Amino acid sequence: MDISPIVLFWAAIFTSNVLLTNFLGMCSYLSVSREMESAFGLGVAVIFVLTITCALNWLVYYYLLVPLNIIYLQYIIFIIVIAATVQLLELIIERFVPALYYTLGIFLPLITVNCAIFGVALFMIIRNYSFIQTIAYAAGSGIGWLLAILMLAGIRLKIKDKMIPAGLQGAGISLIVTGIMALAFIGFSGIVNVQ
Amino acid sequence: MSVSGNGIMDSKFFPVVFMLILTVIFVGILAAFYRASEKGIEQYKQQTYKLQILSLFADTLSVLTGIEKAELTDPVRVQENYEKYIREVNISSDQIKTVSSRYFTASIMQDNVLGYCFDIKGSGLWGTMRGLMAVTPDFSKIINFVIYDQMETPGLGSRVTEDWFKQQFAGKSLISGNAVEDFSLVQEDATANAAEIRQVTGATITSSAVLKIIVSAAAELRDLRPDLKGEQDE
Amino acid sequence: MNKKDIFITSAFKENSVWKQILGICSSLAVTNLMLNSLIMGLGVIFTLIFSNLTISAIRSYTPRSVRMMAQVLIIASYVIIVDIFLRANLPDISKQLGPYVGLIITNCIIMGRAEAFAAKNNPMDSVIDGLGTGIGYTLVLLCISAVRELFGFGSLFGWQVLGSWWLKWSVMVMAPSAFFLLAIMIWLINDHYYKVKKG
Repeated sequence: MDISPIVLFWAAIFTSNVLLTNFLGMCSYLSVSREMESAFGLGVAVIFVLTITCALNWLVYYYLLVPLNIIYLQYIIFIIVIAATVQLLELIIERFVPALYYTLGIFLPLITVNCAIFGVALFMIIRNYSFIQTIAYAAGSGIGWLLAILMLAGIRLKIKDKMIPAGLQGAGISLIVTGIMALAFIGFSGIVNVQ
Repeated sequence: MSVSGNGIMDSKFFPVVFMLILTVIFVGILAAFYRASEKGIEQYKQQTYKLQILSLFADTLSVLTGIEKAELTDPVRVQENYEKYIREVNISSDQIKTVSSRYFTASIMQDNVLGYCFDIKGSGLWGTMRGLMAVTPDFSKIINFVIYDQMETPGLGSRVTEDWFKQQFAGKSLISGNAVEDFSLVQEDATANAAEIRQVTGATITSSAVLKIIVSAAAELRDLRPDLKGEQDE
Repeated sequence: MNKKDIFITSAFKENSVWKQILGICSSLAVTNLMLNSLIMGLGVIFTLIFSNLTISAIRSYTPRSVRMMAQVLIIASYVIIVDIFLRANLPDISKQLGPYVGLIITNCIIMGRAEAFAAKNNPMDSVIDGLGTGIGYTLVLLCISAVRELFGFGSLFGWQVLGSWWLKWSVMVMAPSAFFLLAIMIWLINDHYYKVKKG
């Protein structure tokens, strides 16, 4: 409960990585990691959405849902806030960085249902984080997600011309690589307390 | 932005109005559903909670009163049994974090207290775990223990709610003198001595979390003991 | 496309998990036990059918700028209604489903089908697509969890199949094993698909 926001920030990136430790946010991670540029673009988008929506959701939860005793609407309100933020982001990206918009395709709107974003919002409530802790944890989680997708993109780049069986190319080998990374990250679990 | 040449749908306000109407409809349905079910859900929770407390003392009560254990833990007679044997007490202390301020005493005919039951909580892997721990009147031994609320991985961490796991705690020494017992984990298929608990395979974090909760509660109870003794004698 | 084609396509040819690589998060979380997979699968099937139906029904009125919010609102509402209903009437089953409620709402498959199919097709077709997608998804989950539960616990659906002589594979109990199993499954299916294509 009294965990320093800085500790939370670093823990969210490395030892409690939202993707490799909690296995959230997989779908877009596996599909967009084909190229470094789009992976980076999506990762940055996720950082923005995570931080902004967690901050908003925290405020909505403690200043709207709790006082009005409508906590059971928590899931709906959270997901709507996330959807609205992503819709806004989509319009901005389409206007200012159209190349990225077309590369990301359906995975931009799919950020809305990225379990990582919804999951982090739920975590902050379950773990009773303060506002500052929430910002630190959300930003760290976003950076951790970016880190994970960049790692996978980099590895995919390296193994692209190696002799992978035809059936495993693409999704298959990504899953195996991610599985190995996840096993490695299990070694980090419990090192830093995040709750 | 519109599908047909309809004037209303072309307006800039239509999306906002559309969302508002949609939200009102669905949130309305949800709210109605929730309000209708709220009482039932709450009642079920209360009944289950009371049943848990009774079950923790069921063995002891059964031995002393001669009533069958099955009858004492009969879901239909929860209210009746609960009022007969359990009392609720509140402590006011800002020292307690793991232990809740409302605790329970079990007694027959409001006489000698058979044991205390504390609602204890702490963090698991995914969220807060809550348990009920029944202890002997001098707090030295655990009578029984159960985790009644957790959100650990189903089929993995959640196995701490299985009978074999929680039964390990029954009869274990909690506080001897002024020292709190320290438990450690062993493999699930190993044999455990008095200070060891067999963990759930593959769920080390959740299993350790349970131990941590019990040990923290024990430390707080040890410090609370003199105050509670005083209250009881009044 | 006739109804049968829609079903076969959504359940097998364009299966959400091994062809479109969607719904992975839940595939990792719930495949440790076959029972969990079944419960999750049923929840997803139900939500898919009703959300596809509703989204398809209002597709001509939904402005493009708010379509994502509308879809997500509808999906989340159905999931929560199921959750409340179970908690009130079947509390034991609800305890099993409880942790997954959030995972169903954010399941990329449901949103993906809403966007890719229901928003562009009529309600009847959308329902069949939802049913097919859900069944295909559940089958994949059951396959993976069959292996994980068998080697990790020695049981299938809770029935002890392998005796205590079986040394349980801890890796099957942990989530990364689902990654490997899914990869192997994709490999086998892709090989079959290529063989059929060539031959």
